[in-house]
Amino acid sequence: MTVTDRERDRDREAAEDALVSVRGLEKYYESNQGLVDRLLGNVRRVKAVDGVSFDIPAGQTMGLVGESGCGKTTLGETLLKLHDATAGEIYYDGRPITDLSDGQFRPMREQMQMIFQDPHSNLDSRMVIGDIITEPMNVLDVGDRADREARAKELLDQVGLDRSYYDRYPHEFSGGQRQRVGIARALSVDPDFVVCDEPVSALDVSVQAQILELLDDLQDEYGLTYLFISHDLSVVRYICDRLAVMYLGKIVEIGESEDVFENPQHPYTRALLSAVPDPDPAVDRDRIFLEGAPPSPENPPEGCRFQTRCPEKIGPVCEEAPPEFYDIEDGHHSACYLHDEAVDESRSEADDE
Amino acid sequence: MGLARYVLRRLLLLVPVVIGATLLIFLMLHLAPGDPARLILGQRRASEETIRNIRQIFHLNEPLWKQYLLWLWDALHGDLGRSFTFRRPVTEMIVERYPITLQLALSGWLISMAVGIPAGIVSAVKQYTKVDYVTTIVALSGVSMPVFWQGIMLILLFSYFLGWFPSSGFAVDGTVFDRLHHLTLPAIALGTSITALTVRLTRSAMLDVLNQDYIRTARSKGVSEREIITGHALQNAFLPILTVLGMQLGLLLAGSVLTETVFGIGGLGRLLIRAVHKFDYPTVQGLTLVIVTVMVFMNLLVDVLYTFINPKIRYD
Amino acid sequence: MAQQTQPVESADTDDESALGGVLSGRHRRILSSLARHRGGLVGAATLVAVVFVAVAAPVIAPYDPLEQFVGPALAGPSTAHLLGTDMYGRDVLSRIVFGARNTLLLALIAVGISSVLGTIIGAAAGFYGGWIDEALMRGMDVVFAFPSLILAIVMMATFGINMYNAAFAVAVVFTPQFARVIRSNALSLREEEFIKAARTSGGTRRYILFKHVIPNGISELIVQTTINLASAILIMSGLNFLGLGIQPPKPSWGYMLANGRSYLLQAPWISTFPGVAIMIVVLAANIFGDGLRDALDPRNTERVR
Repeated sequence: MTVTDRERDRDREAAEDALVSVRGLEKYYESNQGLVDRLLGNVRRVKAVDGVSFDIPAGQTMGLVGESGCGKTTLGETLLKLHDATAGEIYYDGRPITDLSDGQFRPMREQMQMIFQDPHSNLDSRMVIGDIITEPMNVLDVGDRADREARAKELLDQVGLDRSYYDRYPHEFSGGQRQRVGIARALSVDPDFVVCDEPVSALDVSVQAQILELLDDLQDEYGLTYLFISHDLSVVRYICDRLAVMYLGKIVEIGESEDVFENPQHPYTRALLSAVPDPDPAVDRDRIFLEGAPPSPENPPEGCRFQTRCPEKIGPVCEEAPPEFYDIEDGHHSACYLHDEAVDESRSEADDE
Repeated sequence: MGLARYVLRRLLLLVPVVIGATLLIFLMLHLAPGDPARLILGQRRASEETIRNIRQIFHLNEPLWKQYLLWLWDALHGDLGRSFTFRRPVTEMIVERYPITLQLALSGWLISMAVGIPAGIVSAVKQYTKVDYVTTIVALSGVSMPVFWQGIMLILLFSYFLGWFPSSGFAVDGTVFDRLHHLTLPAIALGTSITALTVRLTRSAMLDVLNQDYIRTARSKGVSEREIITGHALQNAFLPILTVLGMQLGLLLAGSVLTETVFGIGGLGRLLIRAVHKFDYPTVQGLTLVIVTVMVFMNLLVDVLYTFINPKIRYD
Repeated sequence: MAQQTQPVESADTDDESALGGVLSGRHRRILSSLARHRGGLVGAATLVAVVFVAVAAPVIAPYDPLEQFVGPALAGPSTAHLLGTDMYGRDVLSRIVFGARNTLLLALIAVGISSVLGTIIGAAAGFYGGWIDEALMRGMDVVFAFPSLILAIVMMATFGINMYNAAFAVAVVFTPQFARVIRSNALSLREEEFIKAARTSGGTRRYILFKHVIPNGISELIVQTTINLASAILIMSGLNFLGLGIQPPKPSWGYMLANGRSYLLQAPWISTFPGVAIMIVVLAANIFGDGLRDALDPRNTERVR
């Protein structure tokens, strides 16, 4: 069953209720943008994000998982308008923001912030911790000098760092500590929505847990809404309410986190989940191995993007058109022809012959 | 991207550079303080009528953009105007003198290759040994020596004290031996000034190749060191050495100006200096145009040659 | 994704040297690595000495560099005139000492101007990208199409022959080199997360350019400046040699050298010693630049460009 009109209405309502809502978002990159290359038609297009829709209700955490290069970071950065969307619409608190100019969007940056991935590049090594944390307040002109300093020191406390670090340089700190500074910076302007782009993937496992816990605590305290980007499913399960699985610029499965984990529908999701080590050794799962590397987003396969590596590929139908979302259960959708009754019937007929 | 397409792309990329450079050369006359017509006449005194004639001949009554196009059009047809200082057409002087500069630059380049490539190879193969350090220091000293000073020192030693080579001039009409005899000292001076670059690039290119996995594999298989160096490394190191050619061309042309001045050789460089001192604009413009054209197209040639040999970099 | 091994949460925050508050870790590493680079140290020391000579020229020089017949004309080195005298009986050593002053000052002015121009152009091109990048870098390509000395010579014909125009010409010649280095640096910085963080904080392009991009290109800029200083001195001396730079009677190494040619047989010292001076300074700047480059990136020692 595909999306009906009634559901489209419901969809619109959901978009209005959600804090962040994305409809048909596309972000294409072009290489070789020089004049000469344009003349010669040497421009290559990379479809980093290719028609993505989802809602994040206020106060919730939405997980976004996928292999590196699937476009999840680009998606997160496009939400914060670090890139201009090629097509589609982003709503923040019901307000469309896609076409806002930098200047128009600027005041909204107080509400939307980002936590980055690499503790070695997320802080400018030439600035002291205090200047780093107060930077958003300085740029957005929040409070006066004394306020900013007080706020920064308070945040240092909250993220578990000593107030005396205010005047120190980033190189004096460990990866986990730098990540905490990055979190303090994002929170300094008191945002409602935070994009966490693989915030723990560069850290030791022991440190990962501490940072995740911190993010969780801060969410409770400030009522934050997160988009949590990760390639690591075990990390995502811990922190997310909803989960979207992304492959080559498209979302292939989306639903409540527990539903997706307990009842994965898309073959890609199943393959990803099978690779996560289960804490319970008694559970014996068959590991699904995917063949080859993901195809280049410059030249994605026809039809379903996953068909070139899919262990459950049905046949020509997968190569014709990209599958739509099929409802699995309430709020749980998967984009795969396996769920199409018509395809299923024709297949069983073929089997009977 | 195919080779033809790559060459086309490179040619198109050159268009703005060529327009910019020619415009700059054209504007020289108009940026200089004073009436262009009088500037063209140089230090000669002239009647009102002569000035009017000059305006006519050099299209100075036309709007600036039209002057530029006419100047370019004439240049494309080999007409670079007339020097009133030397009382001759500029093209004629250039045609007459360019073989001298060409011979000088070419022999300088050959000397630099003959000395620099073996030195670079030895330096790379014996990395971190005394040979390597000495080569590096000598090369660095070479690049730090002003070419004109080196020329003077060569004259002092080989002409005045030893009397082996002539101290100045260029036997344009002499025998081959005569010409080589005159060319030796200038070519050595000019060659030394760019040898350091050759040594450095050869050394680093060789080191890059010698550290590649396939060379290590060959070594572990017991292929002899001589065979590795001549058989594998040298071939692959050749590519980066080619790139230096483009850089060296500019240095060679600039070096020729100084070398010709030191040795009193009547090439393009000496002509340029004399023209600059006399503010002879048509000559300076014509010479610069020729030099820049040679530079631009030699660089293009090197690039195309490079990609022809190594198709990988077309996709950069 | 490779897991990077991180120190445990308690990093070495106690181990802070006196410099720690002032210099970032990178700077400290560069300094200590430079201190170990023997060549770089010798180069630096020589440069410091030359600058000292240039600054203290009036005190150091035994005679007035312009005064004629302070000794016999064309006299060889002696205790009274350590490096001999020239055709007008002027003291060669004094002229070399004052020549250091003129040559260094002009080369520094030239490199200073080109580093500022090149930094702004390169940073803007790399950071803004798009047509700004295209326009600026094609402009730089135009300048780069001329052999550097020849461009400087030609500019003298346009603007007139004097030492300030010479400095300006040399500045124009070196601007593209700075612009290219800074541009590639800005390009790589554009992807750094702290730049993205500044953007999510609402930082304008100009803010990010001056607050993050340019400060983070400073070390590359310093290396480029040192190496270009060496070339600038060479080109400047070339202009002086050709009579297109510092005008006599003001002493300059290049012109002294040119002038001595007529007396090469009788008085070779007139041409020889200014050349030695040029070579020492240029060599020192080259070695120092090499040392700095090595110190900046230990893996980069073998690469030329």
